[in-house]
Amino acid sequence: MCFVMDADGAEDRAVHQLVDFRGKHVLEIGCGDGRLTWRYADLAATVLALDPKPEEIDRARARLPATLSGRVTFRVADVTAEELPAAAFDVALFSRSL
Amino acid sequence: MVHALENVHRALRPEGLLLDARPDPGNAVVEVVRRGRAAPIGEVDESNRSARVRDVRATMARLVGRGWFARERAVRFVFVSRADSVDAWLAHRAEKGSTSVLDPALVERARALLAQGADLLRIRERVTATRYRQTDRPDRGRPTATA
Repeated sequence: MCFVMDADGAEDRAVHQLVDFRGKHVLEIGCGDGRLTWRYADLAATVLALDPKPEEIDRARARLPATLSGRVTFRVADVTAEELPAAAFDVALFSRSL
Repeated sequence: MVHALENVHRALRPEGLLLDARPDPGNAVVEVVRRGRAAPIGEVDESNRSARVRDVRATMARLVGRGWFARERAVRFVFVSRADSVDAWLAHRAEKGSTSVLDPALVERARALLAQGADLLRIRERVTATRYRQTDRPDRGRPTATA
C-alpha cells in the first residue's frame, strides 16, 4: 500500500527555483513528517522544522538520516505560540501550513 | 494567523525570505491511470481549504501593503500525488487529518476501476509557491488581527 506526494517532483523544482538554500539557516513551519525538509536540508546550514502534531514530528525524527542529525532539528511547536529567536533565520518556509 | 506571520517576520533576518507554497482555491482532481493514460473520475471538495487559503493570501496581501514583506516572485505548478490503492489514499487522508470532503460514490468508482485493472490513482492540485522578502521599514504599521 503506497501513497506518494509530489510524485512528479514539481514542488521540489519550484522551491529550488525560488530559493537557494546553500548555507542558509532555515525555519520550516508545518514540516509534517519532513517530506519537504529532505529536499533541501543537505544544502542548508541549519534547519529548525516545526509542526504542532507530535506524531508527525516522531515520524520525521525517525527518518532523519545520520548525515543530517547535527543540522536538522524537529520540534513539536505551534508557530502562533512558539517563541522564536529574533533575526535568526535566512529563510522561512511554509508548505501547506497555517 | 497574523500572530504567526508576525512571529516569522521577527525571526527572519533583515531581507530574509519567506516562501509560501500552498494549493490554489479549488478542488483536487482525481484520475485513474491505466497503461500510462490518465482519465479524470471526479473531484475532492476542497471548500474548507479554499476558504483558508483565501484568508492566508488576504493576510499576506495586507502585510505586503503595510511594508512587512515584499512579494517578489511566484511559481505555479501541478502537485501530483499517487496512490496504488484506495486504502492507501484513505489512510493518507486520515493520517494528515484532511478537511476535504470525499464523495463515497467517487471512492467506490475508484475502487471499481482499480479492481478492473487500472494501475493507480492520481490526485492533481494546482499550487502556487510565492517568495516574499522580509522588509523592515521603521514606519511599518501593525496588521490588524482580522484573520
